[in-house]
Order: sequence, then structure tokens, then C-alpha cells
Amino acid sequence: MYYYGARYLDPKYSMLISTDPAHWEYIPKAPIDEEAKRYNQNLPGMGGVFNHINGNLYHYAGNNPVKYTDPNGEFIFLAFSAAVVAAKAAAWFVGSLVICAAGGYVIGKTAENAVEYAKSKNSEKPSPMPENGAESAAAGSPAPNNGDGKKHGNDDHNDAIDKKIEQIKKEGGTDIRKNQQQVNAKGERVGRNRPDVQWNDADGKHHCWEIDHNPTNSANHGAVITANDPAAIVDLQLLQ
Amino acid sequence: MFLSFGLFFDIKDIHAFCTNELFDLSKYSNLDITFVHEEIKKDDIKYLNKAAGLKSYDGYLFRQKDSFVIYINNLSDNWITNIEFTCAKYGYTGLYIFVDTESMFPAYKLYYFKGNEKRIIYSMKDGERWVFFSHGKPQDFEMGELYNERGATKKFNYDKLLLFCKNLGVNLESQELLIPTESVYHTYAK
Repeated sequence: MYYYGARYLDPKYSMLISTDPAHWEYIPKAPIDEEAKRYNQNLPGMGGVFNHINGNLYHYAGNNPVKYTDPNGEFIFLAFSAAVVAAKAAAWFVGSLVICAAGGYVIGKTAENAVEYAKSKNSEKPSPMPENGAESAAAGSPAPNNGDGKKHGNDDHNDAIDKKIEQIKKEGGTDIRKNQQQVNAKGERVGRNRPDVQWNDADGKHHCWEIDHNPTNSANHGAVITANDPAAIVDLQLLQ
Repeated sequence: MFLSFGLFFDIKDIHAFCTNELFDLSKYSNLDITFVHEEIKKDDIKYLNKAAGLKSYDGYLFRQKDSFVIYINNLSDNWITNIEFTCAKYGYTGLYIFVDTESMFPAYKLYYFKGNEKRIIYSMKDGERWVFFSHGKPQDFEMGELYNERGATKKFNYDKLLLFCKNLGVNLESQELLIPTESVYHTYAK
């Protein structure tokens, strides 16, 4: 069984074993009056499971998932980088399957987050990055681990991270996070990506630090961080 | 339940502590912090103890309780860096507790500093899953098998955190611990 926050997925049957908590949002009312008819015409997800076109696996990207992406379920974007598409292809595929099974519309999100997303989508600008998922600021964030977390990556990578954390502590950095989901200066979660190190400096500014072997990965990490939090100070290092 | 506080065992004189450069918060931040010795109402504690993600940088509270100095504010990391740094530099013994059962990311965190040595045990919901982390040499009163159970919340939870603190002479169940009944040092950040 896989637990996705709101529901369990039974891998033997590739099915979620309970109903989507957000399913009521996709079910039309009995068309007894004008208000109900108007409501039915404005169902989220263009009718959800009641619109047969939504059962199409690649309809979210105009039947061309190689060229287009739809990270937030509202607009189709031209994929900006072939490398990113290739790297994320597996995750996208799984995300799409989940959506079809659930009759939901928010791609790549669990049912629980879909509910939050639906509540916040009118006021929150969603992240353009598919792997992050727009998070409501009110959702809070995990407590910081103060840089004391499990080993991340191989020895070289982890040693470089620990060395950086030691330096930050000496400089009096606060809210230090090692390999935790991205937050902003207020400690609110802004993305599901996990920068190697995050902290707030003495001026209250939020820093994200990444160290990579591969320059392409490094650039992608930087793009994701900036997209999630434009105010973050991003520092990308390459491991020699 | 939400608890977040730091505690120094070796510091007996709160006045010297709050006015000494040892714990000069302004050294680590651009905030202009003023120490004020005044009465604190019970309701202020609610303001100080807020869950992670609802941070603000308005107030800190120092008070003396039994034989230690307790330090409360509304930061989710409670300036733990500062506590760690102070303990390491001056050889003090300190404790940091963080318990959050209210938010969607619950956590039970315990950091025990003894000079340069540190003992860290925490279990918290980090993103979508619970994680358990243990670092440092176990204390004499710890029973290793406590952390052998399967599942992060069984390995370390509020009961085990309570037990650890009791062994150090800190009773988390005591209301007097966190709710001030006497005058305290309150700091303002401007």
C-alpha cells in the first residue's frame, strides 16, 4: 500500500481504494433549477469524469506530451527544455495515471493536496515547475532540522553540505534546513523540491544553496528555486 | 500542543545573562533588540508560541525557573543555532525542545547540548513522510531499545521526549514551566 496523504493506493490493482475526498467538487447537481444548471456548466475539470474526453491519458497536453506540459492543470505550456522533460517523464506519467484514476484535474498532486490546491488556486499563483506543485502559504512547513539531517547523496556531496552548514552556523544563520522542502524567509513552504541547504541570514534574507556534479542539474535546480521563491538568494556550486 | 523553547542549565543569574554579551541576539541579526524587565501576562505566551510557518520576529522571553534559564520565542527553530553556539563556546549545558502536534507537519524534537557534544533525537513529518533522526552519544539514562521500534513516531514521540526531559530534571507537564507567573525579561525587536 502506498499512502498519498488522503488515500491509499493498492499497487496490486493499481487503484486507489477509497474515493477522492475532492470528488464532490466534480459531481453535477440534479438540474432542477437554473442555479443547478449554471453550477453544472462550471464544474472543475471540464466536467471531470462525466466528460469522456477527460479519460484520455494525454489530453492534458493536447495529445502531445513530449512537446507540451501542463504543470498546474490550467494551461498548456510549451516544454522549455528537452532535458527537463526527459528527466521528469517518469514522474509525469505516474502523475497522469493518478489523475485519470481519481477523475481529478490537478496534475501530479495527491488527492489531499488537490483539495488544498482547489481552495487556494484563485488566490495563489501556482508554481510553473511540475515537480513542485503550488502550495498554499497557509499549509505551513515542516520544522527545520537545523542542518542535522540524514546523509544526503554520496560521501563527497554530503561532506560538502555539512561543511557549508557548519559555516552557516558560525555566521549565526537561522532556520537551517538540510535537504528539506523549499521554504521562504518566513518559513512557509513554497515548493516540494529539496535544496541541499537553506537558511536565513542576519538580514532575514532566505538563501538556497545547491551543490551538484552536473552543470545541467545545477542550472535546473536554480531555475526551480527561483520559480518557487523569486526573493530567495540562490547559490549554485559545482562539486569538483 | 505547541512547545518551543530553549533552556540553559548552567546559567543561574538571569540578569547577567540577559545583559551580557554572551547572548547578544543583535550580534546575529540586524534587529535592534532591547531587553526589558517587566511583568508578562499569561496571554502573552500564546503570542510567543506560534506554530512554524507563522513566524514573526517581535518578541523573546527569558525567565529563571528553578536552576535554569528558559528562553522562549515564536521562531520555529528558536534560534537554536544561537543556543548551540553559546553552549559550544562557553561549555554550557543547554536543551532545546520543539513539539508541534497541531499543524499538518507535526514534530517532536529534542536537542541536548553539553559543551561541544550534542545529542539530537527527533521524529517529524518532513514533507509527505515521517522521518526519525538520531545523532550523538546516548546519555546514561537513555535506553537504546527505545528507538528500535519500527516507525518514526514509535521510535520517538512525546512520551519519550517527556521521559528524556524528566531525567534532566525538566518537567514538561508542569504548567509553571512555560507560563510565567513572575516578572521576566522580555525583549523587543524593533
